[in-house]
Amino acid sequence: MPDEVVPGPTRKAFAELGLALRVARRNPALRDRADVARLVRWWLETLDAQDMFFDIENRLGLLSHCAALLACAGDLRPPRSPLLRRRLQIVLDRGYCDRIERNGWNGLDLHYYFAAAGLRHELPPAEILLGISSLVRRPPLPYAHDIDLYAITHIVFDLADFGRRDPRPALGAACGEVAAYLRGALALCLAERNWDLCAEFLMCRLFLRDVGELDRLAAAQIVAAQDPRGFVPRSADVADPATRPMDRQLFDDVNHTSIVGLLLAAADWSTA
Amino acid sequence: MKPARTLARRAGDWLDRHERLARSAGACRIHALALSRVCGRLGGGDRAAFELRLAGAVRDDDVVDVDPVTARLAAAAVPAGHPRPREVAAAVGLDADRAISLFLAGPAGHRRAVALIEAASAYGTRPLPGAGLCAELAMAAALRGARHFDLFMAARGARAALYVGDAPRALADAIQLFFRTLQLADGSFVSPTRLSPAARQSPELGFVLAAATGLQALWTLAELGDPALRLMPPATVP
Repeated sequence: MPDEVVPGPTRKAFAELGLALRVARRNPALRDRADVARLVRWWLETLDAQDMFFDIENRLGLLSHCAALLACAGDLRPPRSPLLRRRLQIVLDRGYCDRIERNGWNGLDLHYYFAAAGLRHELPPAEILLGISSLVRRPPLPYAHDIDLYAITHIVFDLADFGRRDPRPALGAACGEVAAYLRGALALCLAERNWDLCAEFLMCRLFLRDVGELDRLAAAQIVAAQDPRGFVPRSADVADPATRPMDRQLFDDVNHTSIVGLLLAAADWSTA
Repeated sequence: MKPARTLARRAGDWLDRHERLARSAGACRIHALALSRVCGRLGGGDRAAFELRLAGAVRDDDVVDVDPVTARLAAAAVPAGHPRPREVAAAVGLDADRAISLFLAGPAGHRRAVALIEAASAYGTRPLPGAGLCAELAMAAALRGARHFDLFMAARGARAALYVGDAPRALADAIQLFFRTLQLADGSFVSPTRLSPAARQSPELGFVLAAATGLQALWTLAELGDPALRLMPPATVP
């Protein structure tokens, strides 16, 4: 059934790349680089050629994914397409996708991408979603699973608009405790040699303007972990990617961490 | 939240209920003595009678199968010729850069880094110059240990962080919460389902592992709760 279609690894990688390029284009040091321009051109051409919004009126499982694509395309090739926006808005205006039960992380993610794509919605206000999220009532690190840590980082990304907005006012009185938690989580991921989460927490700390010796050490470790072919392995515990040929399986293993690496490089390091 | 004294009393009750097992083998006797003494130090009731009965049953060669650290906490004499941990014997200051490199090298590196800190600080009884990043990474290794249910690394990493400087309070609090809430209703700190099949089939081995885990948990809670407290007596450290 069309509404059971959900983004697979390839769609997800494509959207994440668009997001990273959207942030990279904000960075003056990266904006005019030829390799970034080439990637942006490829991304937009692929978006057009693959008809990624096909049947979106029926494929509700792709709505948030398409909202993210629309937001990225709008920034990479302004102005945002009014036709695509209208097609997504029709789906939202049915009053279903923004009314079903969601957790704080999921709600805040949707909030962020709907706003970035210029879409009206009836989700609860971001303050309410933040209040019920795990960023406010944080799971203790000894018990936290990786998915719990991803929830934390993604909520900070949403609040900070990937570095464009200062998230500290939104966090209010919890800001100090959140900063301490992010620092502890970064140290933990560094000890685990989990470069994916390490890069995500490093970005969070940059966005909170709270960086120091630990962050510089973490950044140096991620740089050292980068493969000569350019990608960043997810973790030091996976089979050594240097000995593997670049194939579909290796791409699936490393694309997310490599894109996160690009996001990290594009983040504002002026406070570091 | 239960204070450390309550946890120690419950651990002592667990020991009392398992006294027959505690007396059954040399390693059991030494572990039981060590745990009992740590319980006593934490105010977990009067342990003198239990320890007297157990000490009467201890034989000279009981420590042969026990790690020297536990033997020292049990105040049991390590016989001449019994191997001591190489790191303790080799302790001369701390190379913080080397410790940091080891902390960045994965779990095997964590164990070596923690051993370096334990040796250089003589389990916290010898002051070390502050090395904030080292303390933070030691606590991170402890957190990793907790996440992977490597309770010995969780405990040793947390104490090493304390010995080498000031780890961020939030991390120390997280480890304290972890150990406080680890204790089961019977006073032990490890569920039988967490033990290896071999330990489940051998009551003595199961007892030793449970006692050693309780010892590590309580030792860590004691020192994190009172940063001036050191359970390892300085005089017994070579």
